[in-house]
Amino acid sequence: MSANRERRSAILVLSLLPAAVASTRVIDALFMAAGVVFVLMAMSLVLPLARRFGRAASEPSEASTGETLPREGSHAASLWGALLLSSCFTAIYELVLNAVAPAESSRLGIYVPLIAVSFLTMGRLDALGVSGTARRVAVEAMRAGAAFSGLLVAVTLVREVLGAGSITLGAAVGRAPFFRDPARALGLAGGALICLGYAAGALRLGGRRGAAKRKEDQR
Amino acid sequence: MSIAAILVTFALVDNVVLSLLLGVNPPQGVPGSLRRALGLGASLATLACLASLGAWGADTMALVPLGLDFLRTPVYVFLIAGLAWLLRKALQRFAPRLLPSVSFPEAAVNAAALGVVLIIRHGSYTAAEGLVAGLAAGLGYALVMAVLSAIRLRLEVEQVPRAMRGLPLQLVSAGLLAFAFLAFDRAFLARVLGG
Repeated sequence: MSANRERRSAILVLSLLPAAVASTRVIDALFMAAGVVFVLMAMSLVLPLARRFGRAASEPSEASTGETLPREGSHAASLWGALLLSSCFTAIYELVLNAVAPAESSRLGIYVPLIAVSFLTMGRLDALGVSGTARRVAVEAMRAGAAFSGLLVAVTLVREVLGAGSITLGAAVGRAPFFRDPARALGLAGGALICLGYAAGALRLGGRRGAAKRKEDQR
Repeated sequence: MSIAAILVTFALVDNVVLSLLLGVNPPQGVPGSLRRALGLGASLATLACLASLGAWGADTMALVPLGLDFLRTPVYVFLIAGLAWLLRKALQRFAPRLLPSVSFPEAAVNAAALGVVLIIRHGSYTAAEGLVAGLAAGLGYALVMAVLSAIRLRLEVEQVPRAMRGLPLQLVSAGLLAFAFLAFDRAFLARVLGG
């Protein structure tokens, strides 16, 4: 498993930590995942536009003064811009969630605003540095959002089935009971950490096996 | 809530790392030295104290009177990021030797500070209580990071399956530590502090 891939999976797992502690039921995980996907997709659509406008606005001043902005300064500006966008999109999701599912909004509590400073969301800042097309940035955001959602729902499913003995999918499906004597500790923050630890191990194992298989195929 | 109760609640019962799962920094996870763990704790304590004061001011003077509660998230995020930037600049100027051990602005510390500020504002704490809560959150963060870095150093010399080395094992250890911290629950708090 390459160092880059390992770093990516570490960021994915660590960005799941707050969302995982908030999601003790599958329905919570679905709402958290929807929030992250919404913020990521909205940022990936707006960031390239902002970058293009920023470039266009800076060109005349460069020509007139004969100086270019220092790289550090433009990077800092893009950081603040991305922070503004992520916090605004998170606030929009908070308002929508509060209007659509107020009970779920109060259950998730402080964890919805934390999407704004999630490592995954802030990782989109890299997209600013990359001179990729808007489509490429959107595809990257979609991939990151899908990986986040998949892992969050899988971890929450395991925690809910083993920790509460049920699966809760909201009013439509209700609660499917499995067994009577569940390991309730898995529903706590410690349970989330242990599940994510094993999930990180499984991801690494899967990555190594995949890499070994690819190597063998190349031979 | 008394000052002692706020200190114990934010440092042990609702610990930033073990209860809220905030402040763990990718890609290294847990810091590798005690000095770094203490530096991170000091960063969080300073940032959370100042941010809770700022958030209290913004809430009572602007957001609530003007009916702009929905802007809380962007305001808090910018407040914390701005404070982190200012603290870094101040350290660069007045105490550059401290810079390697403390961390402004670091994403993990900023996220943890935002979590603490949100809890303080949701709990409607006063400005003074918010200051104490921010300080306690930093103390609790430093304590847990110091314990986790000691565990990390021990685990580095142990033989474990390759797939579980590093971050996966650190997370499992943190999970077990979180169960140990369940001893500091609200009933314990009520018994020790009387309410």
